[in-house]
Amino acid sequence: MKLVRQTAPYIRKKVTVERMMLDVIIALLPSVIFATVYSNGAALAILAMSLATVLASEYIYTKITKRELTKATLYAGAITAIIFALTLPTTLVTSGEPVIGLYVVFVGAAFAIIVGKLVFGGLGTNIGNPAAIGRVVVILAFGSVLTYDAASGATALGTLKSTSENFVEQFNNAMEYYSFKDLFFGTIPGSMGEVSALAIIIGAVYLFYRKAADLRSTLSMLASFSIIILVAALGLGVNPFEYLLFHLLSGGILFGAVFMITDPVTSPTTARGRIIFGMIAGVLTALIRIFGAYPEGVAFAILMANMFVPSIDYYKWQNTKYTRKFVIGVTTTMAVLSLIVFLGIGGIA
Amino acid sequence: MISKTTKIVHDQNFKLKLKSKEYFNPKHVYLPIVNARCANGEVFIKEGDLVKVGQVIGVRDGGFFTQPIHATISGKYVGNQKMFHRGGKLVDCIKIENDFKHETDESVVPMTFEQVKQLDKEEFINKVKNSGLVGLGGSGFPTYIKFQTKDKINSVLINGIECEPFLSSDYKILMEEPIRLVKALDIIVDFFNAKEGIIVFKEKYHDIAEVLSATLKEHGNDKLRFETVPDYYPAGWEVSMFKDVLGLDVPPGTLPTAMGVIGFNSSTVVGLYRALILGMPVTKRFFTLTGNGIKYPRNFRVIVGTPMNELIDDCGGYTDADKDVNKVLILGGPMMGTSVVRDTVIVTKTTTSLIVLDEVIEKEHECIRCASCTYSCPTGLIPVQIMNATKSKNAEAVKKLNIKSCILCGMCSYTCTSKIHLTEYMRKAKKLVE
Repeated sequence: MKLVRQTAPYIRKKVTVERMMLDVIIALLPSVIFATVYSNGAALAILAMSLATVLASEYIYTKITKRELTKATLYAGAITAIIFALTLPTTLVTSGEPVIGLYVVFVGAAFAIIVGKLVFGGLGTNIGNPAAIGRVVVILAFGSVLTYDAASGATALGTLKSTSENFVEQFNNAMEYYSFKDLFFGTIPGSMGEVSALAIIIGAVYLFYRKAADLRSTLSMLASFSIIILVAALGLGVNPFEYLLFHLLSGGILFGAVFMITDPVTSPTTARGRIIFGMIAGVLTALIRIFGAYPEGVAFAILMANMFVPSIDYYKWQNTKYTRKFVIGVTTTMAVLSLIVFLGIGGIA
Repeated sequence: MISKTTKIVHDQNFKLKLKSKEYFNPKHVYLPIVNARCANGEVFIKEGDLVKVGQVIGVRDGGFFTQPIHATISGKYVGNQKMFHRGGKLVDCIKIENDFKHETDESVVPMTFEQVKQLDKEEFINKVKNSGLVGLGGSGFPTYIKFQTKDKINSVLINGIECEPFLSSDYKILMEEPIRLVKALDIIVDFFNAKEGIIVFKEKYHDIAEVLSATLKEHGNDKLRFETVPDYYPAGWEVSMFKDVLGLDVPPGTLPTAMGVIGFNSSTVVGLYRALILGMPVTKRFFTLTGNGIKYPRNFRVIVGTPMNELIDDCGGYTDADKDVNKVLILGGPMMGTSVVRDTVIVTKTTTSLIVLDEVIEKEHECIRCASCTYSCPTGLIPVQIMNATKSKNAEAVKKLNIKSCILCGMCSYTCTSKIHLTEYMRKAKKLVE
């Protein structure tokens, strides 16, 4: 027995970063299970390819940099791999050449982990959400391979994109084709982890109950997204609540708000910062959906919001309190953006 | 978990209700000639001289104040010996051999409660000064200087909150010395001509509330009362106490007296009672010896100057002393205390406790920016950003991130999911902007 010196404090809370990451993986399981069952197991091929690519890259990275391969690194890598895989459609391997599909998964996952994370120095150092980076690479590089449904060829959001003179009629048609029940349970074409709102909500309840993620950016992303969509509905002349529900249940907004925006590494480190961060992502998602060329843009929106993080965290602007200035700033910004959207969509005429 | 931590959870197996054990007969006592606040000192007696309890045998010089050294037992001065002080340094100590007679010195003259109340300000302050009374909660700040304030004081608060886990000295004082506490508070309120005197403790201690209700009924007046605060960390921080009890915000860098309030630690107040009414300086104090590294944890009342290894032996020694488990010795609480590597450290006026813990080496992970430290910081700082600025030696950013108001409470390290020792970075950051 020796008497040894330490520095205060001498006791620590019984929490570990490993457990927190494991909780995220557990929260992802409902979506994984849904995807597997709904695709008759095809989802497993994509998941396995993604996991193998990411974990192998992490392993090689620790060998090159002579670091220790910790449980935390493995879990973090697994989270990236699973999230990335879940943003892809199972049609990648079920229709067309499975080999090409898996090649797409491999390139996307490799890009996500290597360019998205490892070049910055591994866990805790990356500035962009790695899964979102992988997803964006796949959209940009392999757009033609990404067919969602062999039969209809369009996702729920895709049906809103094709130009038509009468948007109200077009929206009603879309709602007829995709009922809210289908959207909620996920029996629709789309990215395998994003389609089932139910599976995501089950995961989210666990995730936030375990406090493995920060609810602030999620809520702020969903709230700002909803505001812009509601304003757009007013401008388009459709039922705002049906329009909002349709948007919330389709595409990747729920999945992104629960599993991607909450990635702590790429989030700001203050409560107000996270609210601003979620707001940027939410507004951008809505803007891409309404005005953009792509039907969906959660991954783009999150990556753009990531780019604002260093500015949000700039030391001269730090304050941990919700000051009046902050509240006024946030409300004014949202009001101005809503007005621009309303005018831009042709709401006056 | 990404959350605001307010409670320190610990598995403490400690018999709070057990009566404090009196340990009044150490063979020798050691009285440091210098300490953390006083760099110089002088001894008035010669080797072989006989001393009595309460006798002035030397003086410490702290620059802008001096502090008498009192003998804490009666016996023979057998020379100086280097011993470890709570700061971890070897210092010269006056060594007195106990004659076990506990004879009191002639200079110790008791006064009645009424006599004390009739003292004028100058006499009062002089009496406190000559007693050598300092902040016994651990600050060691000379108490008489607090009485010299020119500000108008409205509220006097006694801090018996003790928010750090493992500690129970304040609890013991409130339970075992309520009459002295109330009477001394009466004297302080009178001295400042304040509107109110409040004893503050944690709301979970219903037994203290019972004891104080009864005591205040008999010995109190309508200016004196008690208040409770919720059980959170750091409830015992003076600023939190003023906020919780009076709803008063004391901005960082402002002295509470400027806002009309003043706080005293409960043990300091009992020390004040001894100094004024009994005429006796601090010769004994409550002392907690606990932690999972000690066999039979207990509260003590000890003579100031007792080496701690005697107390450790009295507690049955270390647990698993023969095994290869290293121990960490902590003076003070487990959140803010100082670590020492010798168990022969001596009990001084300001040492409240010794906690012995089995060594646990935490494996540090990369920061994943979960922001638990930001949410948990009681002063509203952003520890993770201060850490990063400190790593890159960016003094300007550290300053702007307001490291000055950091109280080194240890919450950021405690709550960190990656087990990063953030508080250590806070200390470095403070050095960076000095």
